[in-house]
Order: sequence, then C-alpha cells, then structure tokens
Amino acid sequence: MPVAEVNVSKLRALFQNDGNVTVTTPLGNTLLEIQGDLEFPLVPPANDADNKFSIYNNEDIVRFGLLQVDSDSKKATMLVGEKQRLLGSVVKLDSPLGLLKFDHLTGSVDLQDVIRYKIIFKDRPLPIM
Amino acid sequence: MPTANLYSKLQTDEDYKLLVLNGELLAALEGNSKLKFKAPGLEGSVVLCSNDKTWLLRQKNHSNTALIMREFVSNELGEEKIKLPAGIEEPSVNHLAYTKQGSELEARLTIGDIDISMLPIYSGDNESFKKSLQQSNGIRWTVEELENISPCSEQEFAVKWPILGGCNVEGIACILSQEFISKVLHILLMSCMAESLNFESLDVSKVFSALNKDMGEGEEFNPFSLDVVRTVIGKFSRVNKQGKYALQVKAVSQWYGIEALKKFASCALIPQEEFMIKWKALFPPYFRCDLDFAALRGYFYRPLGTSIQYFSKDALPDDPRGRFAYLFKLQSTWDLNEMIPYIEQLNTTGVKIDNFVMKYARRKKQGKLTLVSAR
Amino acid sequence: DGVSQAPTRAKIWVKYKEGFSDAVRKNVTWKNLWE
Repeated sequence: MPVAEVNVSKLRALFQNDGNVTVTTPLGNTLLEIQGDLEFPLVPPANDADNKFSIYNNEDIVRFGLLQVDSDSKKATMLVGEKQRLLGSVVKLDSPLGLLKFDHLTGSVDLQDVIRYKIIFKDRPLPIM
Repeated sequence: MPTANLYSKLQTDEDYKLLVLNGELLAALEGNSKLKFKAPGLEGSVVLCSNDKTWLLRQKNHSNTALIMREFVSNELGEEKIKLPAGIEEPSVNHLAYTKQGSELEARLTIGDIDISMLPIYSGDNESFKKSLQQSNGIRWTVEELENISPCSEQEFAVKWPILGGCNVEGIACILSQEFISKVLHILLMSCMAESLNFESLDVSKVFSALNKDMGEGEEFNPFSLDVVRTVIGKFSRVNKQGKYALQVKAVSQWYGIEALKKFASCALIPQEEFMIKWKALFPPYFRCDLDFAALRGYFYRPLGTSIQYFSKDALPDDPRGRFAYLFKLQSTWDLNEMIPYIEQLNTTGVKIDNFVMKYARRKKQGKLTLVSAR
Repeated sequence: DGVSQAPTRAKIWVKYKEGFSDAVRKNVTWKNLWE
C-alpha cells in the first residue's frame, strides 16, 4: 500500500531551540553546501600516504578537509585536500529543511531533524597560502 | 577560532531526503498533525497529507553538493599524524558527511481528491450488486483502502466521500446511484419528521432507527443500512464538532430541484412558474424549505428565451471556443448569471468572469442584467 | 609479500561549477520517493 506515515517523535526537541543561532542543530547535524563537486577516491588507496582514510563503524571514511566557522561574522573557511581554500558564509534558510530518513525494511519515514542554517561555499576555490 | 575535521563516508547513505518545511507544513507539525506520504500507485504522483490538508510533492534538483554532516567521536582515528597548515588550530570536533543531497522536496498546497471513476455503483439492490461484482473483474477496495490510495487528507476525505455518494456496501467502496440517493433522502426526511428529530442536530444512529421503524425485520432485504444512512445524511449535512449532523436545507432543495428538472423538463420545455409548482410538489409533505431558483443554474437553459429545459454540463465540449459555440447554438442570448456555471471552469487564469466572456462572446448591459451573445 | 608500494597521495579536491541551477521541478512518484 503506497502510504507511509512520517514519524515525528523527535519533534519537540527539533522545535524548542528555534531562534538560537547555531549552524549545527541541537541534534548535531550540519548542512554544508559547495557550488561544485567534492571529489575523492571511492576506494581507499593501497598506501595511504597522508593517513586520510580510516574506518568508522565498519565503513570507509575519508578526511577531506578542515573547517573553521566564525560565529560572529558568519564567515567560514574550508580547506579541502592539500591545495584548496574556500571562503564561505553561514546563511539562514528561507524555509527550514526537514531531514527525512526512509527505512526500506519497515517502509516507515522518520523526520530526523529540522535544519535552519547552512554553510555555503559559492566562490571559486583559492590556493592554500 | 575552533577547527573541525571534515570527514565523509566513501559511500554516502541514500535513504535520506530533504523536505522544504514551508509555513503551512511547519504549522501542521507544530499543531501536532500527523504527516503522511500517499500515492495512488507506484507510478502515481506522491502527495503529503496532514490531518486536514493535502500537498502535491515536487522534487527540485540542484547542481550543488549538499552534505549533511554529523558530529562524531572515535578513538580509531589516527589523528596524531594529521599535518596542519600553519596558523590552524588543532581540530576540536569531527564532522562526518553521511549523506549527499542533489535535490529538495517541495510541497505545494492542493485540494484533496478522490478518484471514484473505478468504483462500482450501488442502486439499493444487494443481489444485483453482488452479481455485477462477480461478473466484472475490476479491482475492489474497502473504503479504508480507497482512502489510503486517494491523494486526500483524512478530513477532506471524510467531507468529500459522502458528498460524492461514496458508501460501504458488503465491505466494498462504492457510489450510490442518483436514484437510490433520492429514494433514501425522501424516506429519511419523512422518518425524521415523523420522529420529530431536530434537523439542526441529527444523530446518525437515531436517524437510522427512525428510518428502520417501519421496515420489516429480517424478512425482506433492507437497503437502508447504517452506512447508507450515514452517506446520505453526510451528503446533505455539515458535521459539527460534536459529530452531529446539521441538515443543509439549501442542498436538499437544490437536489429536489435538479430531480424536478430531469423529471419535468428533460424532453420538453416548461414555463418557469409551472416548474416551481412541480418542484414544490416533489418534497415530502410538511417539509419546509425555500425554493431558490438561482440554485439550479448550471442545470437548465432557455431554448426560446423564457421557458426552461434541463441541460447537464457533462455534454459540453472542453475547449472554450467549442463550448461557447455550443452554448449559443442552444440559446442565442444568455443571462450571464445563468451562463457562469457552464463556463467558469474554463476560466483557468482567474480573471473577472465579465472580462473572461469578452474573449469569446459579446456582452451587453440591459438594466441589471448582463446579456451574453455570440460575436 | 614484502614488496613495498610507493606512498600515493589521494586526490581530494572541489571541482568548481561556474553556475548554480535548480530550475527542474518534477512530480515525485512513489518509486522516486524510495529511491
């Protein structure tokens, strides 16, 4: 039957912190947006020279960069790989975004978080100085 | 300035989506409404429903990389080997990008809809109903199943279903025939009056027992089931917060008027005054209601300018030019008010109807009347 | 097997896109929703 109720049990927690200017939600999620594609190898290299690849919860992960956010000026700096520096900013979304998780096993949908801000990098990457 | 380590899964999760929470959706969530995704089938368009509203869901693809990141702590990470650029503080937090989003879901408010085109018709005869079900091999739904596949919120469904004549018979969602609705309505009104029930605040179970008082028990088949009563009373009433039904006398009056048009003005013209008398005579004795002739607009025309004849708008062509031509063939000059029900659905841009008709016809003022004729 | 490989540097970078587009909007089927 094509019908699925959205589970909103976390809702109270999602709404109570409205007005609090934090990029990361009270539940620990952050939305990072880049104008372009973030490229990295989809399999860990045989010899990982810079120790970028590791395993977390049985899944391959890669350390792709570093992020600094100045909460006063709403400016953000991101270093990607060894060569790129991106300048971005923290913006409030016109409408909040609901983060939905679709559980294929049970056919249920979970509203996991409400995201009100994003860090966006719209400009061409600069070299690291 | 604190520094964060940014990690990403090599294989990001694909079970996540982002939904734009516009003001209406936020209000529904804050009002503790349930939210449901619904679709009429695997290939049909998905809607999102709260308790009382329906939104059409649309996907907006974009060209940016949107990563959702989560804070995490791990001892397994070999952080001691990280080489930091000059001037960068030691990272104090780790973020892991776990899903990548190339689109957002948007919800646009729409009107809940029930597709009744596939449902069987019930005319009050169970034997022939069962027989016709056996003979056709169409899909049969229960009312609950139908509600689940209808792009319609719960409350919209509850209001619309009886208005469409929708009913549960033998566990199957079906539509009551016009003739059967007329029959049930007539007996129902008489039974309620006989029991002096208050038309402003009817109780379905009391109406049901009033209606069944004179029916033989168990011997003959009784078509006036509780479901049938609920549908017919629901079609002509508004339900208040206490679950009581307030009869809408105007809706009843209009129904009898359309019946009268079909009965007395289908094959031949009838003068309007004579029609009013016939209309009045159709109601159950002592049933008090006003006859508002304007309520029948959209169901009649005046072939020779004065006397009326029944006409259903189902017969009209869909394209505006064809429809206006057809209407002027029926009747060379129309009172705009009597024409509006036949043309208003063509006015998709929502301009003032006076101006809309100018696109296809000539408009003339005559006293208080606006007359419309072919160009 | 004793053969040591030369350390490889993983290529990690942002491939910048000149413009941003979000013009396409389409209805969502039940299949799309669960893709």
